Amino acid sequence: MLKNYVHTVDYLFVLVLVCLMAMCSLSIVYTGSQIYCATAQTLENNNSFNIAIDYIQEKVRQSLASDQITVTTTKGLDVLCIHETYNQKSYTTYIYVYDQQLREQLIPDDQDFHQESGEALLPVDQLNMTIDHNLLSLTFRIGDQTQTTLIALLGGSS
Amino acid sequence: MATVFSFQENTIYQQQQNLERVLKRSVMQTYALEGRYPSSLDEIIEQYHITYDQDTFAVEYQITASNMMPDITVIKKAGGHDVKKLRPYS
Repeated sequence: MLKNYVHTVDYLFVLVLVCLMAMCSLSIVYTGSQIYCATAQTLENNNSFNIAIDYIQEKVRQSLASDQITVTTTKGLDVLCIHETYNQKSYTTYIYVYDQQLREQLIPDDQDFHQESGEALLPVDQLNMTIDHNLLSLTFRIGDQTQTTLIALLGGSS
Repeated sequence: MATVFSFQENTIYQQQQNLERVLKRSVMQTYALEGRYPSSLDEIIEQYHITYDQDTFAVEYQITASNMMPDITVIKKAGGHDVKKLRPYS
């Protein structure tokens, strides 16, 4: 009787040990995957920040005159407007964040601007823009990271 | 069997999404760095070393104007109904 009991305890001990090892292995794999995901997400966010900021900077620099760049607020969203003229017709490029996507839309001035019609460029949670003394301020938020960049708007008409 | 098929479809859809995302980022990055949009799809693929399954996907790259984001269309070849146009207006 005692011998049988000892055998059962032996089996149970080994079983518990194997279960414990399996749980530890799974928890290590889970923790590793979480760390990898967080690192990859941070890298992706940094890349999105850089691309979004550089893209808008380049857009602005190609139409750097202060009277070509305006910021308006439509339905609670800050919208960067870049005004241009082609073949004596006025167009405006709208850059804004809608539905957590940085969007761009180029339409003639005689057409109405619809936020949802813009082309989604890349995921950005929030974009706040202001122009103060010919200084354009862009504040991006992606996830829990926020970054601000300033662009000086030079000159008058292009 | 249906689950395996669904999983495969989902994987292909993910690949399509990733390809779209990467192409758009590459176009934006080129514009941000060089002040111009890439002149062709080959330029993006060569410059950013992008590889994709050409038997499964077809990519159309259409330039409208020098200051406009090009139209990028990724088409899943198998099952022609699954066509997604990236540019919502055109």
